[in-house]
Parts: sequence; structure tokens; C-alpha cells
Amino acid sequence: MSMRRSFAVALWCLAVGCGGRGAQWDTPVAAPVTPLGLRNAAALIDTNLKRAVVLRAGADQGLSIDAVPLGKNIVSTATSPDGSRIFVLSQGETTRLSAADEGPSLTVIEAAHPTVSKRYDLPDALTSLAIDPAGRFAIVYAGDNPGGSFIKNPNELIFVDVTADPKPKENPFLRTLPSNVGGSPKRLTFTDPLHFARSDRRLLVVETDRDVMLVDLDDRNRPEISLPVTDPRTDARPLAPAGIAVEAGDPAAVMDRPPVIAVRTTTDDNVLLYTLRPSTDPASDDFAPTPNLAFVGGVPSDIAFVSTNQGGRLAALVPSPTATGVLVKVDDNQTLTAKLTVPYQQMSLVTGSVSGASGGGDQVLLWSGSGGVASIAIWDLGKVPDAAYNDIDTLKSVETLNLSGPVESVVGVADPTLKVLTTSNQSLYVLDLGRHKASPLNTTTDVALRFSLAGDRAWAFVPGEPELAQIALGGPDVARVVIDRAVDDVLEIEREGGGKALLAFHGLGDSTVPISFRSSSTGRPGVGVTVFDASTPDAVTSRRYSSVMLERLMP
Amino acid sequence: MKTSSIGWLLGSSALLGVGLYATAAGAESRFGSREHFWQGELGVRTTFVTDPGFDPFANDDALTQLSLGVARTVWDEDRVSFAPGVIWDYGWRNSTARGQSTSFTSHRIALALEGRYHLFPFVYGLVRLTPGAVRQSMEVDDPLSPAPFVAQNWAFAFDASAGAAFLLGPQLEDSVSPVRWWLAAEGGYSYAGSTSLLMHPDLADGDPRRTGDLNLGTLAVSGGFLRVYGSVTY
Repeated sequence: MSMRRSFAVALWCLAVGCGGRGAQWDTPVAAPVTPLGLRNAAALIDTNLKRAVVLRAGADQGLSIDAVPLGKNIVSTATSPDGSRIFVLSQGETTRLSAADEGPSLTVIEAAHPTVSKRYDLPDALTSLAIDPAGRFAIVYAGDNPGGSFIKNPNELIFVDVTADPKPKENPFLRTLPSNVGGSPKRLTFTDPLHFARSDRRLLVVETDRDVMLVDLDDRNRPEISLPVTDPRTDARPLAPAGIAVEAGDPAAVMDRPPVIAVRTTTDDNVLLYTLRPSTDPASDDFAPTPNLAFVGGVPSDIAFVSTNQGGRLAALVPSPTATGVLVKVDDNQTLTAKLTVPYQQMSLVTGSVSGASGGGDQVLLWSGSGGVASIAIWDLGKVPDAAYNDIDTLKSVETLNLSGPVESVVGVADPTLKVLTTSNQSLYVLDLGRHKASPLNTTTDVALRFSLAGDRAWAFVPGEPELAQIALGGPDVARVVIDRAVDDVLEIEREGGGKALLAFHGLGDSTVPISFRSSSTGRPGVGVTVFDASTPDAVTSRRYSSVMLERLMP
Repeated sequence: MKTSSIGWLLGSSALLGVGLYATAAGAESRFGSREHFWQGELGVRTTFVTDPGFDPFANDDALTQLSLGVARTVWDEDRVSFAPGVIWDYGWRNSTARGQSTSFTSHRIALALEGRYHLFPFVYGLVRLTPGAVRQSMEVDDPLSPAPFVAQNWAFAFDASAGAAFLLGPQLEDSVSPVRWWLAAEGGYSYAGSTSLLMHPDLADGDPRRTGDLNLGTLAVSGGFLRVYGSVTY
């Protein structure tokens, strides 16, 4: 290009303003925006810009806003139960044409350093996440979503030790489960430490659609163990695991009371019990799973290991043909049956130390998420008769509480004696199992609930409406919180310098801001946050933040 | 003293200076009234703002402004003259940031110190140093916010430029009309101090709602610029 022409081009550029702006300003906020809660921060997932906007509350309802990078093509997010970590799973570039193209990754944001993210590059782009409640592992697997790939190995599990830094080939590491019967993983359960002869070991229980597999979480060199749910030589039924329960064993009697894994299936009226018997070699920490079948009189809808005044039992809830609760003594398959008046389908366990049950047993809350059962029952396992009896006297041990409508959900909080029930006719109940009290809270519309990590209070709100209330679960006492913007979600987090803050989010969705709550201005609403003191939520002292997704976009 | 006061003081001083010197100047000019004159300017100025802080308010880097100026030749000798003056530039941009409406408005008031070299009676080259002040207002609209976010601030500004002016007419020294028309263009670099883009909701006084700010970083409207203007001299 001649000098004269270059000069002309330069002049033209100057005149028309050559040089576009950063693409981030033309990138819309992908709706809905997902808020995730750490114990001391909230993260808003900005999918289109591959980042999380991290909000931390300070004194006087102040908010500090940072951003941390995430991977491209986010497919799944999760939060650890204790609020210590946030997990964001990304698939990277759909078609990687060069080494510089971004690959799949798992990004972890920790409460200890919420403005810093830790990235683990993954060997494969999978779509599902399982989070270890103990906080050590995250497992990435295919699940039911192929993630845009026309072929996948569903038995690939990518183990990420989130307590360690990334290390090529070692963390994360890929483990492919041998599929003896052609199954693929559906549910992953991390056990508590199970008590074996030489040490405690944690297992990953993988429920496939055809069997159950045990994977050692502490020793990656141990081979997987397959637990079949049917004998293919004698039983042609296509049984699939529908749920498991794990008994950790007795640490004081590891040889006599070894760990047990119970498996219920979709169609069988037996519960399959695998006792993980220790190896006869005293130097070995291996075990041999020994199967046993316990007949429970119908297809169980839920199972759990419970503590009764007669010792440990497996409880099974059988809705039909006769609604019963069954207690199975694992050692000798002796069963006791409690005839129930209605077909409850699910159990929520309250351990004996806090339940207020008589005789030192657990209490079990029985409820039904479907079937229109407008009651719950509290089964006192401290009143279980010995084996000389055939049945459990339900008049003495089962207490029924009639509700105003069918139960939709039962939510447990950090306080194990408290459960929060929602019903289909817009009533909430705070159930205090310690005091055998069910306190109703009536609502005029469907409400959403969020709970504090401490479990002492809940926040009720009507999505898309300026309706917010604090529920002190101990009472329960309800205090309406005045808010002038429509609420899409709320999170309670720890405040820097002490105390708790409630963050109420606005504008997370595409159309969640009713016209009546918008000002007269045009354009897309931003994402807003109203910060309250969670202990004394008052509109007077609250502070309103808006357009938070525009923060931290400068290079 | 407020920065705004400094700007107006700068402009007033320049005008006063032009007036005081005007009567004593012009005796030695080579081209007479085509070199020694009062000048009024009207034109368009485009600044190529590369600062990323400008991005939320414009889809490209151009800040185009209306430019008005007045100058007076206060000294000349042979082909060289010196003409101080005052220039006011005003412009705005509207855009969106992630779908939210934004706007930017800029006023620049500056003292122009212009040296000229008259090649011919009908053309002269110029170099110009222009210290001044820029006042900029930014707004980000959010229907969810109690009020639009606004930020307003002043910054020191300084231009250095060079260009040329061409006499359109009348060309003759002894023209009947004392008024002449010129077309000029200049280009150079414009420096402006960095200002904060910490934006506050523009609530009415006494509004009890407590709000948080929106921090978009900083902005300096610096960059190369081009200015084309027509002028009338007398």
C-alpha cells in the first residue's frame, strides 16, 4: 500500500472511528442467571462471558464485586452442601481445531478464596457432576446427557480431588468402569467411612441401570466390585437399582458387624442385602460382598438403615399391595411389619440422639410426594417389640398428622429435628420432631424457600413478585420483609466482619421483571441485588445494587 | 476552587487576552488582512478514543463533536503569526452495554495557542497547543434500578495538533468585503486525564432508598483527533 493510500486509510479510520469495542459489551446476559451460594459469597454464573460474578457482603449492606474466569460452554453447576465450594463444569470448544482451543474443564471456587478459581482440565467433555459431601471429590460422568457427542462411553468417571492442585494424568484421573452386564451409571453415592478390619474406607456406590458397582475412593488401584441385582441364570427379569442404603458397620466389632449395602429395585419385592464381609486374611483390608435377599411383601419405595430400641434394622417402606413399614434384621432376615393407614412412599430419618424418640431409637418421618396423601406420619422406632411379635403396634409407635393438602416436598435443614413441608394447596408446615409439633404457615400463592446454612431460618419468596418473608424455624415466626423489586432468588451468606447478609436477586430471568416494577427507561433490565441484614431484614437499612453484570468487564 | 470554575476562568482569560492584544498587532504582516484578523470557527472534530472505558458508551472509538471557536491574530511578522483563541467542543454518544442503554456527553473548553506560517496569501499552515478542561457525563440505564446510573466529572485536557487553512474567498487583498471564508483541517493528539466511572443512581434529593454504585472502571478520552472547520475572518 502506498504511503498516500495508507495516510488516506488512517484519515478515514480517524473520521469514522475504526476500532470496535470489546465484545463483552455486545454480549447479552444469558438468562436465566444462576446464583450459587458459598457460605461467604454468592456467585452469579455469567455463561456467555465465561465468568462468575462474585458478590461478598460487607458492613452497612455494602457489596464488593469481583469476577473469576470459568470455562466455555457451561453444562452443569453444583454447590457443596456446606457451602465451601462451587463447581462449574464446562465442555470447552465444541470442535477443537487447534491446541489453543479450550478443552473441557471443571472450575472450583472456594469459600476460603472466593475471588480465585481453580481450574482442572478434563480428559473428556462429560455433562454430569457428583459432589462428595465430605468435600474431597467431584466426579464428572456422562449421566443421561450425551452432551452433543454422537457417541460416548457412559462408564467413564473422571475423579477430581478438589483438595489437591491439578496435576497432569494424576488429578483429575479417568477411570472407566468395567461393565459386566452392559449397564451405565445413573446415580453416584459417596459413603461415609465404612469400618473394615484394618482401617476405615470410603466407597463410591455407582448405581447403573443394571447393577451396582463399588469403587474405592481412597485407593485408585483397587479394582471395582460389581454387585448384581439379579441372577441372570435363574431370573430373567430386567431389574434395575432404584435406590440404596448403606450401613457403615460397627467400629467396635468389625468382624461381627461389617458394613452392609442394601439395594432396592424397580420391580422386585425383595431388598438385596450385600454384607461386605472382611477377608479371612487378617493382613488384608479387602472384603467380599455376600448377598442375601430380604422379602418385604411388595416393591419398596424407600429404604434406610435405622436405629431401633432392638438394635440396627433396615427399614423399608412398601406402599402396595398393603401399605406397610417393614423392619428387617440384617443378621437373620427376621422382619417386623407396621401396617400403615395410607401408602406413604418416602422416609426422612431423624437420628435418635436428637429425635426425642422413646427408647433410644430413631424417628422416621413418612410422607408421600405423590398419590395425594394429605398426611404425614412419625414412626417412633424406640417402641419396636422384640422378635417374639409378628407386627408392630402402630397405635403406639406411629403418629399421624393430617395436613391441609398433599405433601409436595420435605426439606431437611441443618437442625435435624426440623423439617419443612410444602403442600400442594399452598401451605407450609414447620415440623419439630423433637417436640412433635407441626406449625402451619398459610400462603396465598406458591412460594419458594431457601434456607440458611445454619438451618435456623428460611426465606420464603414468590418468584417474580416483590414478596419476601423471613421464617425463624424455631418458632416458627414469620416476618414479612418489605422489598420494592421483584425477587427471583435469595441467598443468605456470611458477612465480612461478622453477621449474616441476605442477598435478594432481581432480573435473573428473561421476563422476570414485571412491567410495573420497571422504571420508564428502555432497554434490557440488568441484574440487581438487594442486600439486607439477615438478622434484622429492614428495607430502611437495605441497599439496592443494579446492573451487577456490567461490573468487572474492563480488561 | 472547583474544576468547573477553572474551565470558565480559562476561557474568559483567553478572550480578555485576545481583546487586549488585538489593537497592537498586525503592523508587520506580509499578507495584511489575510494574515491578521478576527476568526470565528465552526466545524466537526472526531477523536479516536482507544481507552476501553469508552466502550460501554459507544460501538466504536469515534467521539464526534461540534466544534466552535474564536481567535484573534495578536502578533505577526512577515509570514509568521500567532493567534490565541478559545475552542468549545461538544459531542455525545449513545449505545448499549449488554442490552442496557448508555450515553456519554462531553464538553471541552480550551485555550488555543495557534502559530501560523503563511505560505501564500490564500493558505497557511498552523500548529496549535490547546490546554483546557473536559467535562464528561455518563449514564447507564437499568429499568431495575431506582434511577439511572450517572457520573459527571472534569478532567484536564491538552491537544497538540497541526494543519492547514485555505482561503475560499474573496482572494484579493483589496476586496470590497472585509469578510473572508476559510476552510481548515488539523490533526493531532488529544490528551485527557483519567476519570472514574464510579456511577451513582441519580435519585432525587431526599429519596430514602439506599443504593450501591456501579463501577465501570476509568475513562480517559485521549487519542488522535481530526478537526475540520470552516471559519470566517474579519
